[in-house]
Amino acid sequence: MKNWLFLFVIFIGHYSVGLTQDMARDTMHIVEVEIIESRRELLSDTERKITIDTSQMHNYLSTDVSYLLSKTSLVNILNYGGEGAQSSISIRGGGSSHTSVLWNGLPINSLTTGGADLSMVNVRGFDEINVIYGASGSVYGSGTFGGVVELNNLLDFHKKKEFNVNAGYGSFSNQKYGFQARVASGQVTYSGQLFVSKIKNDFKYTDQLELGHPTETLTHNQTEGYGMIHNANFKLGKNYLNVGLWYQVKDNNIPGTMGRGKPVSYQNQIDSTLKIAWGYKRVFNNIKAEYQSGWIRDYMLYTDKDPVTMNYRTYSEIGSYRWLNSINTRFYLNDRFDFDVLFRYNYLIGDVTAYQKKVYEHEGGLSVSGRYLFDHSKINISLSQDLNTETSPPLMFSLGGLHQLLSQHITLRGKFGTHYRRPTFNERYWIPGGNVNLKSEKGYGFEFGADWKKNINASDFVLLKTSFFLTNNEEMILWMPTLSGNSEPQNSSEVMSRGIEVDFHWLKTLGKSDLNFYIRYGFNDSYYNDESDVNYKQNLAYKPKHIIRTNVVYGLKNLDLSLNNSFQSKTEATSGWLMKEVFLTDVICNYRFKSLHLEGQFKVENVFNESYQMVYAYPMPGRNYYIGINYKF
Amino acid sequence: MRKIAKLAFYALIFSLLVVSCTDDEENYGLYGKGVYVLNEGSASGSVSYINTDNDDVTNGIFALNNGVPLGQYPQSMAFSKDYLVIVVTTSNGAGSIEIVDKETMLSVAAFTELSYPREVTIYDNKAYVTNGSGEGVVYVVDLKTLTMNSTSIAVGHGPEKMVVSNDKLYVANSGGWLNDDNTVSVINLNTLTVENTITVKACPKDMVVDADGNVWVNCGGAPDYSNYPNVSYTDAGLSKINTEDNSVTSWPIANPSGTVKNMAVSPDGSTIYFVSDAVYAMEVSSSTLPSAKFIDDTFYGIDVNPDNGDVWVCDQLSYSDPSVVKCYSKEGAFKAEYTVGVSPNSCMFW
Repeated sequence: MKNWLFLFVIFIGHYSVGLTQDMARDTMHIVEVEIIESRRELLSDTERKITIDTSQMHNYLSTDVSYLLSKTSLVNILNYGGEGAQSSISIRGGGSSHTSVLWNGLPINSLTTGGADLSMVNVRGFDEINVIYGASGSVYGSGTFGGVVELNNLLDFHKKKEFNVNAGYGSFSNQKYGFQARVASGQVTYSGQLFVSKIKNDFKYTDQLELGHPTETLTHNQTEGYGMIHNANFKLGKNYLNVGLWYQVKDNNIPGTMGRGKPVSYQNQIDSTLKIAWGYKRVFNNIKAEYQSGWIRDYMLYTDKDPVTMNYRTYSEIGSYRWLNSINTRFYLNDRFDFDVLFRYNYLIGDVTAYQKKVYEHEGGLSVSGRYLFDHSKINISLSQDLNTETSPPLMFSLGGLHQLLSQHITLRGKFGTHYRRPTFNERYWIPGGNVNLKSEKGYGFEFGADWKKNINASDFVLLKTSFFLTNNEEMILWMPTLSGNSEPQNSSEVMSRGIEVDFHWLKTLGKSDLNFYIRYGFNDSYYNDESDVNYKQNLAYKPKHIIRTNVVYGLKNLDLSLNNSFQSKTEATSGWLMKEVFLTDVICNYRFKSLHLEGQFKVENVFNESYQMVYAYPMPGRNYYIGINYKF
Repeated sequence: MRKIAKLAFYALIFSLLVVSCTDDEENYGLYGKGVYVLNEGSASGSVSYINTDNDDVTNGIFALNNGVPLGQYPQSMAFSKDYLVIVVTTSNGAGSIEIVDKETMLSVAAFTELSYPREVTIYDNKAYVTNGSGEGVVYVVDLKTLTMNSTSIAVGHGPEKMVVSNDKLYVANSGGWLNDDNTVSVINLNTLTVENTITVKACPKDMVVDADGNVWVNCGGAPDYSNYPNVSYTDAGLSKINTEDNSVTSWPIANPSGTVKNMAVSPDGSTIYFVSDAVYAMEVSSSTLPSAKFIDDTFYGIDVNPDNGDVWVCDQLSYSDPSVVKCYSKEGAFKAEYTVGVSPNSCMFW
């Protein structure tokens, strides 16, 4: 109770000061971009933040975000059977619940599982996708040991009216249909879309886990989905209002696995989500205040039928409601120093069959962040304390800085920060097994990096970004066997991840054409680091040590041609079974028929027909084709 | 010269004796006499072999010889005259029965697409396999012809362990995922029909047969999670079925084991071992439950070596890392520990 009272006093106090200063101070020039930018965006420049190239987003517009990231960034995607199948993300050795996914700043990871199924997130729904590797807990909140994926709908008040209708058809009865609208009037901007997808995913594969390695056809792997995303922003003088809505349903048959006999499964999962977000921003001369709120309803129904009787043997409903609120005030003390004070309050409800009752949690948080700008340097510092009625998250801290060596076009970056992950509702309340005594995972990470950019001429450049990182998790939560014969999550292990990441981008213009060449390489060594454990120094499952992505994009007038390669080294599945390395090549051709307002896409994925798995025993599709068309008016 | 002839004669006699002895010995196959451990695994299970003569452990012997893993969550295995029969449950209704040549460890047949196969018992060169997370059946596999009977025998819910006594197959109906059964089905092995259903304590899971042919049943009880994390178990206990008249004597157990493989019997059938809050040894002639703990620890599985009465227990340390099996003497003294695969659940002795 004392903690809540403390937060309330701080909140009232700091907001009163802000209003007083608004009245007392004169003008201070604050560029619009800073007004629009959130605290999170301002503090992210000392993080390793990679924005996915728009041409690559264009290439994979018809797919989900997991697919895009697996081709263009140094993340590992665990996919359970091809496009549309469940997909989870792993960054820098973290699991799915160690990567926070934000929609315009709103955390959308599942309250119950902690992860985010990225197969539910269409690339076309967003203007910008960022990956922040090893993001600081004090800036981004719970569950950022691996990093953060930002899905942003950008503000653009420039007048426009643009509508798109698109359709596509691909191998394995892959059908996609969509409609998008984007309208802006200078004061109001709206973007919205409707989408429908359907894929049978009945591909052939080599069953590497069956005697004789026969060719099988995957069945029970259909996915159907539909949804819509809307965003509207209003600018009224110094006031900014925004509202957003995201509704989506996905019906996914979970496929059988490799091994003895045919791939048999009777499992199905239906996911639906409704997210509503609204916010308000206001500039009071040298103060910016921002209120953001969101209401999220997630629902999942997992069923499994008895193959003989076809009666349900599992019928599990997993639902949750969240009301998320934050108020941030930024104080611009002078042209070099500003600081933010953020207050959060969230109301969380878990409505899950296995909990046997609805569970409720309140959580709040207070964060204070400051920025100081030198002539060629910058320092960010942030302190954050979350409070929860059921758990006790640790105090979070981060210190980051960057320094530009102008003559050499080099920027040096450094960061030290702490992380935590609040136990998920399933880890706490699932019956049997849920452990209400779990502590938050906690740990620290540091990172050093150098970015070098050389402008060759007005348009051509070479960019090289390098980072070295180290992250540890002192209280890793793992499900463990218990004396009762059940399993229970426990703070049972310490995990260390360390590695290097390199991004190289070369843009070369060749007359009327241009060539973009990207190479990304990541080395990651993630291992158990508790000397008292039997698995001491053993690598974590599904964490490849080497990831390489290369993307070549050639543009000539109305033609864009892309060659994308992705490689990841062999990994261990659980139980020590080895998964072989994966090398995949995609070729994508986009052509614009300008006079007809049409654009066509032809894509060949897995050109060399590689037989592979991303999750043990779940086959992935071989060579496949997709053709799409978009009419713009 | 006579001396040399005498030596040659003795050498010949010795050689004949050696050859004669060797011919009489059983062929213990590729790995030899020892302990075979079934590991449920996580992504895939495995079989480990322990050579108790030199304490060497070879893990993953099915995969080593067949080039493919065993499958997810193998639950039980048993030796027949010619084969090692392994039941693989899986998590998605794609269970199988793997028939492995026990000399070469090569797979010779498999029966697939079983919804939820659990336990196997060999009798008269036939393999009996329980199946079902709810309504249950027993499948019969003829190990001479390697064929499965076209019809199965319907039993209770969630059938688990089977034992044979007096030419009858006793099937523990555990209640499966709903914990809604408390019976043992009795199958006449001549007619392959259920001729009796005996009520015991709730959720029977494991069974043994004692020296008198009586069947002992370890019943886990129906869990009650209404006051979670405090869990109580309704009607848990030990039941003894007198196979002469099917009468039942039961003893309640306050802290039952939630595991499936929690019972074993001494080679002479005079002592049963069961796991609840510890491992207990009980004389079959006793009318009360023992109060003294045989081993003050709980385990995921327990078996007894029929050759010497050693008690072998499976210690499940995690769902992803190698675990251990431990060997205790019949007096309860710790003898040895071996690191095997992930989640070992039972030991077989050859």
